[in-house]
Amino acid sequence: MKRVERNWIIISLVLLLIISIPFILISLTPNAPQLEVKKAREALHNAESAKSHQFAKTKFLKAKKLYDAALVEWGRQNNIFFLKRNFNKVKLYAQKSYKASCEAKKLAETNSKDISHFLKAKIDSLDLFISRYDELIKSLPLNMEARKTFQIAKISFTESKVAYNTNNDLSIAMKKITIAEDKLSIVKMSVNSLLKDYSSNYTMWKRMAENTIETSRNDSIPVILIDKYAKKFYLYNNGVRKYTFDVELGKNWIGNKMHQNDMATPEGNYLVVQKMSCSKTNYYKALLLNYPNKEDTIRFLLNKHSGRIPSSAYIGNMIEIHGEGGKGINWTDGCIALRNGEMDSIFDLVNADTPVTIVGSLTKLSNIIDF
Amino acid sequence: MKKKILLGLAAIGFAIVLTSCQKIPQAEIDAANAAVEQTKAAQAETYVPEEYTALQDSLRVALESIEAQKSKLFKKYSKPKAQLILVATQAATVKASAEAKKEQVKAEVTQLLADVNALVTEDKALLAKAPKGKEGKAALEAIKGDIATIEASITDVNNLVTSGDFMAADYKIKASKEKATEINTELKDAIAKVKGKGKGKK
Repeated sequence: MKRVERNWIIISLVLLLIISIPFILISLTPNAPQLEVKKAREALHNAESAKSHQFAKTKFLKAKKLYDAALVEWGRQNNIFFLKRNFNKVKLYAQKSYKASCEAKKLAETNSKDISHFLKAKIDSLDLFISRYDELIKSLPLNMEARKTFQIAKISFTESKVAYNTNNDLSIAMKKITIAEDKLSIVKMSVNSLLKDYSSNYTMWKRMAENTIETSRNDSIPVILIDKYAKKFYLYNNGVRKYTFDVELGKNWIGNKMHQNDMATPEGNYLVVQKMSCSKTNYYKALLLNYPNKEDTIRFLLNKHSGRIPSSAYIGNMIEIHGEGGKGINWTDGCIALRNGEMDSIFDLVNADTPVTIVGSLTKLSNIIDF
Repeated sequence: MKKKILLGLAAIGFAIVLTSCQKIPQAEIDAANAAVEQTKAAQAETYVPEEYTALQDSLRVALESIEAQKSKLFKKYSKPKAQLILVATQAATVKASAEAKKEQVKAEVTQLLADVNALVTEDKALLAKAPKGKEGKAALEAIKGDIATIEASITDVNNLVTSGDFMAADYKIKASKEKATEINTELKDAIAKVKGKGKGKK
């Protein structure tokens, strides 16, 4: 072979070698985990779109952590000499991230649907509860703290409704409704405490009312029955109910009267002792009762002795059924107020010695507060 | 002659190696990351959640492209670089959207605050005019307490506005307005029912 030909062969071989080196190197380079990481990222994005960070937080954070770990490991492997790279760990993290994202998405979709239904039902039931409790609260002499707590509960509840209805912001709605329920449970405790006698005395009150009506039937006389909780005045004649009117009571109408100026309307069996026409009363017409009766006096003395009421307290008197009612609130100092026209209806039917029975409630406590 | 040919081949090989070693677009990476952080600071996750999620995904795509190129023997960063520039632009748009939405909510809260404050002022004026006789005293005292609760709620709203939590402020002020309106109606009814004067009874 001539020298020139030999040189060209050598050059061609060298050229071939140089050209083939990159292809050899490429074939030796480990396959990058591009597809696996892309799949994991897409699954993570889908999970995020399904609000997994809200409704499947733990699973979502796990998926994100695994994805980030995959990227970090990928970067670490890329810094190693290319022939020594190993992307198995990257692929493993990516596959685990993908799986966790899919689970997070599925869980989030289930949870958000469940939470949405749960919240809707909760909002509807609490709406009804609050509107009924609102009426109850207005009629009870609750202390200012309990009333304030109730207002805070109502505000939190409305925040929950606004978050749910306007923004479908389920996590805020859930948080606010939980606050509302906590506050309402405190208010319920105050109400239950106020009404505690209503569970123990109901049977006695029912019996008192029945006895009074029986007296009217047996003796053919008119009797008056007052239901304090219902704010009702009933007049029976010959055992038959003749009149039913709304009444207004003392500001602190719940519970029995303890002493003068406590703004409470007493409970018990009384008699009309005096009828007072317009000229003799400031309240249109009035029926004076024999408060305090014997039981009132005994209870007053016992309470004074036990220190339940101040030693300087007086028992009080001048409890009447009178006119000038119809104000829509409990405003008297302990008397029972009717409208003037209603006083006209009963005034002539009633005499001195007409029995008057005043009870706490003719409705069971469970029917009052168990919504 | 052979030497010249070999030198020429070496030069070609060297050129190939040079062009396969593009620099990582670190400045673009840093700019994209910084831009996304700014959208986070602008509370984009709260005010424009879908846009924020899409932005996060775009950044991940760009960073993946970088690593994919680093894995290669002959690296070309022109496409990832373009992606990163796009992410930075997208982030600026998302930030602007979040800020606009935030301003919208803020304006709504400001208006509602003014409405509620006006209602509370009216309620206090009605309270001052209401008859002080015992017939209405109990009801008016209770309403006074309710107004105080509304005022406490307004303070909470102002604190939320100061801290930049306009969504929470929005929910609370809407709830407060509903209560203030209820109180206003209740007050007017209570005043209308209170009539005349009476002497005290025991």
